[in-house]
Amino acid sequence: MTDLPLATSWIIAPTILPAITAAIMILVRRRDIEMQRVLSVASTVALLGIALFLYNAVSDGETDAYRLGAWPAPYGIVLVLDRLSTTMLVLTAGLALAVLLYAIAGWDRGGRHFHALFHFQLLGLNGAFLTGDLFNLFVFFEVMLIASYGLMLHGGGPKRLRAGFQYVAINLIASSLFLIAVGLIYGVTGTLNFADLAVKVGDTAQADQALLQTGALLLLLVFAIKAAFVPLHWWLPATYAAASAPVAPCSPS
Amino acid sequence: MELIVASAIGLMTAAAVYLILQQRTFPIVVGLTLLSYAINIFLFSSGRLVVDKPPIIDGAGSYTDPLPQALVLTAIVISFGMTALIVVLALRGFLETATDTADIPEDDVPGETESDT
Repeated sequence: MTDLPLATSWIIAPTILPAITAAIMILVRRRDIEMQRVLSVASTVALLGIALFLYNAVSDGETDAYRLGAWPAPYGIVLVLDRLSTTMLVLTAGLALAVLLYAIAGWDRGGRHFHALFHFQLLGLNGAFLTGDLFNLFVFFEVMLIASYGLMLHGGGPKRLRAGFQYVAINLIASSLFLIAVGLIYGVTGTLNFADLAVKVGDTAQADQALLQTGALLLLLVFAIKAAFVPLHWWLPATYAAASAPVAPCSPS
Repeated sequence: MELIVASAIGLMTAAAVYLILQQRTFPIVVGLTLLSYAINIFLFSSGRLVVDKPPIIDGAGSYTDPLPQALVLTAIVISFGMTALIVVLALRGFLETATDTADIPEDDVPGETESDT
């Protein structure tokens, strides 16, 4: 138990590390592709290390939470560390490292900001896995999507631009549905915190049940569109076929 | 007031859906903008519609919910950034391909022709 406070303060690290890395790459080493590669790989290896450390810290089934700004739980935003989120962190970091090593073989020369965008996308992914707040999930999703738009267009060319327009438009519609779902759920339960929602949903009045179910189903629809589940997968072939190879595996899904 | 706000949201969403289903990029962009307006008002009203009340609990009875206002602010910023991005994307697509249709030609999608058989 002595290492728990240490692990608690490290929960924020998987979101901060890519953000700082990406910012440094944009500000300092814009032209130097070799330096960007070294920095990018070093940062991803460090991310994998942090993810493994966090995975080990909660491997006994404990749940740990980091309260941003030390606001008390249902009012502020929390980052929640449990076995699911750490597993996803480890998977993301491992996949990111493999993709990055493949991209270094030459794909990253196609556009100027591949590595910076890649790390912004990691920031969004890690944040989305860690967050314990519905609206914060939306914000991290948007961070991830904005970076993925840039990555999707990486390399340029008319074909990518057309596929990119479709991709952005469909994701904007899905994000709008996400906001409707957030509004419905907040309107009925009065909370956005996942743990608090789990309690409050059980006490919902009979009259509000339909609204709440609509909100929950809309959320399912949103994630189905973004993950390209079968009836809603129509955007995926055109997008992934047009995207450059190292971008496709790390696109939001 | 509820009726006006609800019908405004409904009308804007209907117009947005109609515009998004068009084939050219400009109506789609305008439709996405309208949709984000509708959603901003919807989010705003999810904290219940209250007039002339402070967004703080001061013990003197009624107050307006401050959280949806913060949510709407974030949503506005994000949708503004996204709109700027998609406008640039539509414009560059138009300049590079000399057409502003939003759909991708059949022969541009690899594997489509084989799977049709």
